[in-house]
Amino acid sequence: MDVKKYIESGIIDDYLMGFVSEQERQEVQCLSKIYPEINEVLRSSENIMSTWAADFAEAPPAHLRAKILDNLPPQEDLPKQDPTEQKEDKSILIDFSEIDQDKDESPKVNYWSYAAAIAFIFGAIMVWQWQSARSSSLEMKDEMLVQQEQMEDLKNNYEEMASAMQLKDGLLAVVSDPDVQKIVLGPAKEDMNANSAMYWNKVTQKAYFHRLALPAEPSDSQYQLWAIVDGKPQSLGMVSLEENVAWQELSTVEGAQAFAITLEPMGGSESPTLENMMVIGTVS
Amino acid sequence: MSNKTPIEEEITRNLLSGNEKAMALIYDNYSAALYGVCRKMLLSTEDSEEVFQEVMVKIWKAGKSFDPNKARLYTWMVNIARNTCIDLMRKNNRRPQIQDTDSNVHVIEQKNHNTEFPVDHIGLKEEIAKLRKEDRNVLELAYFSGYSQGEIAKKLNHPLGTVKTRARKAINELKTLLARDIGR
Repeated sequence: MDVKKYIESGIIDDYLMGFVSEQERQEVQCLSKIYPEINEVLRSSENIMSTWAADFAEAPPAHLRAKILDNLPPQEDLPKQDPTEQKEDKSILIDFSEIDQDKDESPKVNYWSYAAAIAFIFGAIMVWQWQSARSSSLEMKDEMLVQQEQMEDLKNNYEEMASAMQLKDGLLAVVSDPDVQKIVLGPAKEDMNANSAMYWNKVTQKAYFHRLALPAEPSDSQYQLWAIVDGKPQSLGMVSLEENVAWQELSTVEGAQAFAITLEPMGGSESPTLENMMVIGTVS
Repeated sequence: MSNKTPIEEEITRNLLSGNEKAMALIYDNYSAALYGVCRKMLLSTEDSEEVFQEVMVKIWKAGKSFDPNKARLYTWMVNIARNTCIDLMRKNNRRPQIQDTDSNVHVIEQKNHNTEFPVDHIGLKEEIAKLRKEDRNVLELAYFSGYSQGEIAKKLNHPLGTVKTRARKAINELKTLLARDIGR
């Protein structure tokens, strides 16, 4: 329970004024017994009100002093009830005189009244706690679900970022190698809008492909990479169809003069379909 | 509770040990405040005298149950007075008429004869006078006359929400004004 929020709602002042329902009245009384903070605010407000009441002080007639002090009854060892506890909703007027008489004459009635009152208070506390626990449990469950979703999103974002970082790290390692030469693959035909790049290590003879801007493949086709060695095409493998793979390591190739990409049937061809050449670049 | 006066401590000690001296001390120090509450709530001298005697007897009889750690003696006694008055109102199925707050100002002077009292009288009157009359009226009707929020709204011809707003405003102002008197 959010005690601070409960106090700030102003219900304690409303309770003192009697501006609360019967249920709220019992709630304030129960909660003030459970939460010291609520009790403190209630007592403090009561002190304010009683201090204010002193503003209306008026001396009683003098004869009452002796009348009262000379006729004090025996003091009770244990009180029948807390005489200060606010009773039921004061807007409901009930004649309690009969009940008061019974109370004095029959202790049995008192016993049952107390048993019933205690049972009621415990019942009220339990119902309230159950409701409160249920409500907080539902709230917590919702909150946990939201947090789980947020965690999942964060995890996905992290994985994407880690994968992108790995890709960039690999690319950086390749391009920063002084033995590696970049071969820009420009459009094979003027009206094509395609660009790629090959990175070729002349010492190790390893080739790396960076997809850059190749149009999406038709569903039954795949891009194939070629190296032109001694004027003859030699397949370097297929461009990965996997999404996000923009960078891949290829087979080694010796004495490449140029690199090209053609669009081939799925799985590739033994020789390039020249009319489907997309990009080409020569080794300087 | 903090800020107990020596007299409160003496009364509490006597009350808890069943010494009737407690009641003489209560009478001499707090009878005006407690009788004032009865008068304010019940208006008639006859009812007020009867209820005031009942209040004193209740204080005595329940004295051993008083827990100074849970409540301030004076507040505890005022609450007994209020509840006893409310009981009588219920019993008679009636409530006092609306009383203009200003008509009660004259009685304030009378309380100064008390030897010791838990609040600063001189400052109190001035401070309470700072409350707006409309807000004070709502507070008095609720606290002393036992009127419900709806009844006050009807009597003062205010919307229901305004009654609660005014009462809360008045209480908050009282809290600010009287904080130093009760040491909080």
